[in-house]
Amino acid sequence: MNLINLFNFNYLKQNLKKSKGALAVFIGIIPIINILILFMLNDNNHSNEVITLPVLSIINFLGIFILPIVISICLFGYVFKKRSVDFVNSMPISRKSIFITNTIGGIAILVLMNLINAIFIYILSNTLSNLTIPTGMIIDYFILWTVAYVFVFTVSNIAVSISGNMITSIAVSALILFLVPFTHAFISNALPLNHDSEYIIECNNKECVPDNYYGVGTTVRNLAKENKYTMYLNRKSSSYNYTLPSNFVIGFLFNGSSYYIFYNTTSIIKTFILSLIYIVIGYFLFLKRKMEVCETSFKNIMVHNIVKCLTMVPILSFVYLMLRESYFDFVSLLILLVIIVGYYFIYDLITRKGINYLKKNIFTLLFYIPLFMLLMKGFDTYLENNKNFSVDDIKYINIENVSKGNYNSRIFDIYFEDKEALNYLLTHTGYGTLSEDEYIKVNFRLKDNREYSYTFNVSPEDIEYMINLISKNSKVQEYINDIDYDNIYAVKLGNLKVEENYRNELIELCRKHLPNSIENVDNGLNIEMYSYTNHEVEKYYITTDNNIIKDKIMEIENKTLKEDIVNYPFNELYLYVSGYSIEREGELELYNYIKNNLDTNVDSSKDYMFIEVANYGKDKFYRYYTNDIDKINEIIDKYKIKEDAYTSEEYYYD
Amino acid sequence: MIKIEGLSKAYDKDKVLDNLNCEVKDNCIYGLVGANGAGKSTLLRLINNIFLPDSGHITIDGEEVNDNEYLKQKMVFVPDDLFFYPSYTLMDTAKYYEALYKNFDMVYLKELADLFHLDLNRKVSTFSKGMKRQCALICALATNAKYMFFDETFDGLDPVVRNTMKKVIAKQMEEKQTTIIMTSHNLRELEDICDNLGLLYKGGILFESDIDTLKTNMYKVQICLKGEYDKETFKGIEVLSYKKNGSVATLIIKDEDKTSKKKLEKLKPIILDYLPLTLEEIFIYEMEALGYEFNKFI
Repeated sequence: MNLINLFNFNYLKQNLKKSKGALAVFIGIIPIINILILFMLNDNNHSNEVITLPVLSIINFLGIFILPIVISICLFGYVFKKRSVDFVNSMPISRKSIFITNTIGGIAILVLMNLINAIFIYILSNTLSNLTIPTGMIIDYFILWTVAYVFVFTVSNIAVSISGNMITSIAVSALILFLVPFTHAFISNALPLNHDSEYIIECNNKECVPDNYYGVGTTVRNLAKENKYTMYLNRKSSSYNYTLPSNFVIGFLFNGSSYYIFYNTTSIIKTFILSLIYIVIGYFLFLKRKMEVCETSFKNIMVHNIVKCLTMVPILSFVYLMLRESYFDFVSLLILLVIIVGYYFIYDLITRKGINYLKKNIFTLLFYIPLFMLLMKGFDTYLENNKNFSVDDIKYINIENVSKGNYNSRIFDIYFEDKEALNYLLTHTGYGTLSEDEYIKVNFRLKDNREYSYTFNVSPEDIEYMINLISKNSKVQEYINDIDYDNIYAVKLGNLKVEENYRNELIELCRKHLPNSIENVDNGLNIEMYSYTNHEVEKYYITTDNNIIKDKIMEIENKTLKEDIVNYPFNELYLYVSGYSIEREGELELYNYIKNNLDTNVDSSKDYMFIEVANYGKDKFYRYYTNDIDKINEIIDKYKIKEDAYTSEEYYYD
Repeated sequence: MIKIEGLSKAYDKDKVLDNLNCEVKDNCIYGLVGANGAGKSTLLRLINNIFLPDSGHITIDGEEVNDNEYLKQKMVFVPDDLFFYPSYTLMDTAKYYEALYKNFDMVYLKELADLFHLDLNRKVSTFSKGMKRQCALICALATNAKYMFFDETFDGLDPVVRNTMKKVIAKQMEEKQTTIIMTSHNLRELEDICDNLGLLYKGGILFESDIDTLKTNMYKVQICLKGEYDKETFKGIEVLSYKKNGSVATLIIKDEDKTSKKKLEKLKPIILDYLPLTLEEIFIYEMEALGYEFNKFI
């Protein structure tokens, strides 16, 4: 098959010409909205946002399910009308050529649109002062979305090739795109996602059962005798490797982690290969398409019913979850039955323009719903019976959060293997009411990728011990030390994004002076750094007490505030010193102090205080540091609202 | 030449064409007649590869039509239910044809548009039904395709335009050696333009013949003889139909060897008139001769 011979440019030109208006709107709308979003992100009021691939892609989440389908229908939609079928298919162009020309043309449009989009992003990134987007991210954006858009287009082409009208074509597209991933995700994630469900963890020896474990009820005591440990675990969603559009939707539906593995290489390859396969399938289906089957859903009523029943899978799945939550009570059952029959009715009305089919197929419906529910119940029971696991099944642990201490946040990102840490955690933790000050939240990832979270009750000493234990782990150390300074593209101090000129200075200082340790840091200042490494945004949240870095942070924050404060009249700002309530005149005095004080340098080795400044919308927070403690205290004392009985000493550091 | 062998097509369980065989010689106008639902449009769609046959072969100039782009350059089809892109003018539509047909003649199209008083720059959607039909036909004619297929060709055209269009089509056939297949459920529409006629019935060609032969072989004769006479009086002449009203008898005779006039003159008739037959009459008598009742087909 010679693709070049089969590509008919004249036909493509004419085919695009007839729907040029619609195409121009739909193709233009994505780059235009994207440009507006980028301008918004660049705008001073929104500049705190660090650009990530999902942020950059906002409009595409919607566009991906509209644009490729619109293009597909513009190019192939003639097959839905008898008159246009006669017209186009009588022209001197073969079906092979029509399919190949339209497919290549559609893909070219989508590639071009994404290319234009990427070029605009690149230009704006280099033009707008507040917008820094790594080139790697722009390239990934282009690859990711081009593959995703083309995939939906190829799916839609298959749907067009086998359906008789636009509505059924969209329904078939949705089925091809989502049915398998949705069913898999539902069974593997949504069904077993019972929050605080009681899981039994089998210990391989007596040691992993906590010391105070015998204090609870008889059942638990008996379980402990068998080296079994009951915990109320939160099952977490697994990561997804579906095709790209399914990742986006399923991530959204089941609150999965696809957001964090947005650029999923496995998914991209899978999506790309499936696109090629779908092009071949679409080609043969189009050649064999019975053109007389148009202006109706499917000629064969059986096929129509199968498609209709399949489109009900997501609805029935969620209905099952709702019924399960309501313990299958009669009223819920009745309401949901009405919803399902309503859907069945509307589907027929839209696709076949009649409701007679409902009467004819009511028995199918009445048979299908209970069968589906039974199937779901079966899966549910199976998953319930197989949810328990052994300690040996735990492959990775991750500390998500601790109640006390100011540790390098990198430690909370990594999943590591450490049997010693795991055993310590299981044996030195309490089994009772959680205390706000004494907890450690841990995620367990099993060998089969299931993931559970549990918040243990631990003493601050045990937290420190655990962290020290983990810090000795070579993988953890390697991860902590691995800061990709060369690719850092955004730095934040509080909620303030650091401008480019200051950012590079700060990065260099961190590179030189930042200790690569996990130790608890008191009286430190926080820096958030973002790099684009291995197709992902890596966030480094670091607390440092290094005076050189702290001096620079204070200088940057002070300078930024002094540059920005000229844009704000006093009545648009709130000013305060943490812990004090002062009168408005006091705020004005602090405002004038900041404006008139020429010295932006602060010595962090000496005593210092900071004034917090926020605008009305509170989307901007600034800090103004100063060693001039006496002056600030003088203003506070003068304007302090009397009922606040704080002592000033508590709120400055030395 | 168009050759159709064993062609069958069914819509679900409804068989429209059943083992149809037919040949259409080059450079002629072939009229395809049949009742509504006889399968005329389906046959044209199958020839033009719009629909795929369930079985059978269609060859044109010895080549299978199946998705044959080269062959499609030589074919143009004007369906019964016309289609134009909503915002297109006649010129836009012509350009669409021009982009796809290598031999499209834009000058000729403009001539034809002028002849039929069609504004090239007016949106086709604003034209009347008959004008739309004219647009479709002149675009098809301007393709200079060797094989033209017109379904319900003159549907919606007023008598003046219909005659002009017939002349244009006949001229096209003569000057450009075009082969035209046109369908109608109305025989009268085709009789003065077609060279050959085929009657489609129950999924097959029931009867086909060239019109000249039909017309020159069959006559309507009005005769009056002295004294009493009946059908037996005309022994030796192939009488397809005999009706006597008073002393005047009307005969439909088949006269392949052209000897009937001499034979009748020997009977010394008081009145002897040879009258032309309409195509419909010819079909009626031929069908009756085959044992069918014509009114069932048309």
